[in-house]
Amino acid sequence: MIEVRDLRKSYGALAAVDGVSFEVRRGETFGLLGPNGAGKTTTMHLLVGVLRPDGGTIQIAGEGDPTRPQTREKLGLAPQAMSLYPDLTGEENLTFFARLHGLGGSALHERVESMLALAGLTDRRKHRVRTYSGGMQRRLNLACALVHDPPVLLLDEPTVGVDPQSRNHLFENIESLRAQGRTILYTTHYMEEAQRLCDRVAIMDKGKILALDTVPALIERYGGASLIEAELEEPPVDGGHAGTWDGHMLRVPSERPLEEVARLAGSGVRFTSLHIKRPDLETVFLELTGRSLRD
Amino acid sequence: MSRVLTLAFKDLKLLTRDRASLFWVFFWPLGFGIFFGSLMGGMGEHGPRGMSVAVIDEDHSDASRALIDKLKHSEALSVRDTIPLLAAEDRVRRGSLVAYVRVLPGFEKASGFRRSDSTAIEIGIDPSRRAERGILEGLVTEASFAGLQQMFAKPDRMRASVNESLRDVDSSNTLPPDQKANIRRFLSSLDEYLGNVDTAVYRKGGGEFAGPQITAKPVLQAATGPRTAFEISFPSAILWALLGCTSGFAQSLVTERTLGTYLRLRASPLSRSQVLLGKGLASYLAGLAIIVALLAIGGTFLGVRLDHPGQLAAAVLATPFCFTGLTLLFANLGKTERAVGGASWAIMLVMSMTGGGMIPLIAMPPWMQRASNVSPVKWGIFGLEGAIWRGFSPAEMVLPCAILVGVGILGIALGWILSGRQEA
Repeated sequence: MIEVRDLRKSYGALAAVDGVSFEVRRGETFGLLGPNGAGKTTTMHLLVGVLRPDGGTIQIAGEGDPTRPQTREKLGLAPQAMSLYPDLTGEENLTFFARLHGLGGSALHERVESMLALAGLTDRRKHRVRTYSGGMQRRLNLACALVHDPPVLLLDEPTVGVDPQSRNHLFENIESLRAQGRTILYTTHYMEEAQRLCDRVAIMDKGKILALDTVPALIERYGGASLIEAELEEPPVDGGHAGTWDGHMLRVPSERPLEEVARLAGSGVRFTSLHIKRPDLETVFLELTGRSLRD
Repeated sequence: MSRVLTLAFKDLKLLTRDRASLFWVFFWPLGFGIFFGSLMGGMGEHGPRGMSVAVIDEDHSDASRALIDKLKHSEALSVRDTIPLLAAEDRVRRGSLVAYVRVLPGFEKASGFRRSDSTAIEIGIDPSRRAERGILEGLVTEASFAGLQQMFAKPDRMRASVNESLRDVDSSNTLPPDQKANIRRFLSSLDEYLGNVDTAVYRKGGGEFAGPQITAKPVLQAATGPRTAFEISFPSAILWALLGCTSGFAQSLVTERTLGTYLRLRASPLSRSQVLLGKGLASYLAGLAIIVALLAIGGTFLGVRLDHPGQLAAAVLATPFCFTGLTLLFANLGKTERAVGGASWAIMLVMSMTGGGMIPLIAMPPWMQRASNVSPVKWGIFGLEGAIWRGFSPAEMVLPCAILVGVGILGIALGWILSGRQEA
């Protein structure tokens, strides 16, 4: 559905997007995961044709030029910034963006109603957006991207600055869209979101894609062993176990952590606390870049 | 096109919801026009009400009352008859009245056929107002003769006056004998006539004494000055409104960028040209509506002439077009509201200062009027003034309107190029 080949965009000496290639399949939720400044938003802007690439090609639903109206009809964009008119009501915002996409008459009315319901804003439809909470605005931001019922949805950091309750609401919305078979390109710097929502994830840093695969495959390839952190009542005098000691704390990396815990318990040690830390996308990113996602 | 209209109407809706913007683009210029128009003289002494004069009646006779009544009914005068003499003199001195007319004691007696050496009416007026003095003397003389007409309706009173005149003639030592005889014959005949006159016919009116009949034919002066100061202040006010619109809409495009809505607009099927067109259309329609509203207020309540609809329409359509072009240019001069607001006002204040937005073009020295040619504000004011009071022919309107449209096209082209660079 989306095919990007060797995409490049520079600002002076800074290569914001540096030879990025990926493909998003029909009905897939594809994540671009990376820290701020990795080039995710620039990639989004290139995809919708707001920025002109220095090189590379973009294909969206078989169309090669994202600036063509026919291509844009197929795209719904929820930008990272709250892209709403604060002095219009929620309903007026939805109606305005629907009209820009050519909707009118009963179809317009039905879509607006449906999107107000999706965003949970039916009761607040006549209130100006400036009176909405951050979470309500985020939900409306998503609804405005969906109002013309596009087959491809581009979500740029859609949960930034949202309280946990609204974040869950958004996750449910996105999972429902995913279940409907909509193609979604999702950028985030929250690995939990990528792990929960995305079928495949591209890890991006400094304008490049460092790795691309399903989450389990990425973890398997780059995540390394699980880490067992066990606090013991009495550390053995001679050590006697693989791993590193820090006072009473034993840290053991293991490919099979449950078997390792069973072996420890069988050796007679008494645990004060036990924690198994499985590898995740954060670990993957650390492995790939030497930095944390939140650095 | 419907998408462009959707975009434009959204901007107009946002404008109406922003009370501060609405104040600056409409109510402030309206206040400006009214305040400075009033300061510069408002309706003036030659406004639609006529020449302002005070009349002081010191004779308190039927004849003096008839004279004042006649003056009050004159379309050429605006008569105040409750002001005492000293106050009237003071107002004439300060210029708030053109003149005063003082009807002195003895006016009624002097209005008959008796010769009188004393003054019956005094006109207080600045000696430099020769034209007004001539008009006023003519109007007072005309009104005085109207009093004579009334005397025929009361023949007894007039006969007494005639007889007094006869006695004066008889006792005169200065009149030559043949002249005495001539006057005696005339007055005796008049006395005889008055003795037999049918007073009922005179009371009915009609067939009054009058000179040759004069009819006023309206011939509009080709080149005329402003009739009221509002005709000067309102074009300036309109330009201030357009400057406000220009800055407001220029900043609104930047606000779209900072809010992120511009990205959403550009991700929709709208092209960059359509986004700019929608923004420009909103700016143009807002400017047009504000001009029409201000002119309607000026024309309805403040005596601003809207007598040349063709020329006015040309100015009203061309002026906001020019400022729409400037809106799109200024909107792309920076990436933040502060940058665009600062740049647009810095440029527009210079335009306004040189173009007659602050000092009326009519009050500028010739060299400054020539220098003002570089300012679109000048051509906006010039075009509107041309249609309102400068009496421009359609051919004369072509120059200001063509310049305004030219600047508008240039602004749109530069704005389009600069917006393309911002997206590069």
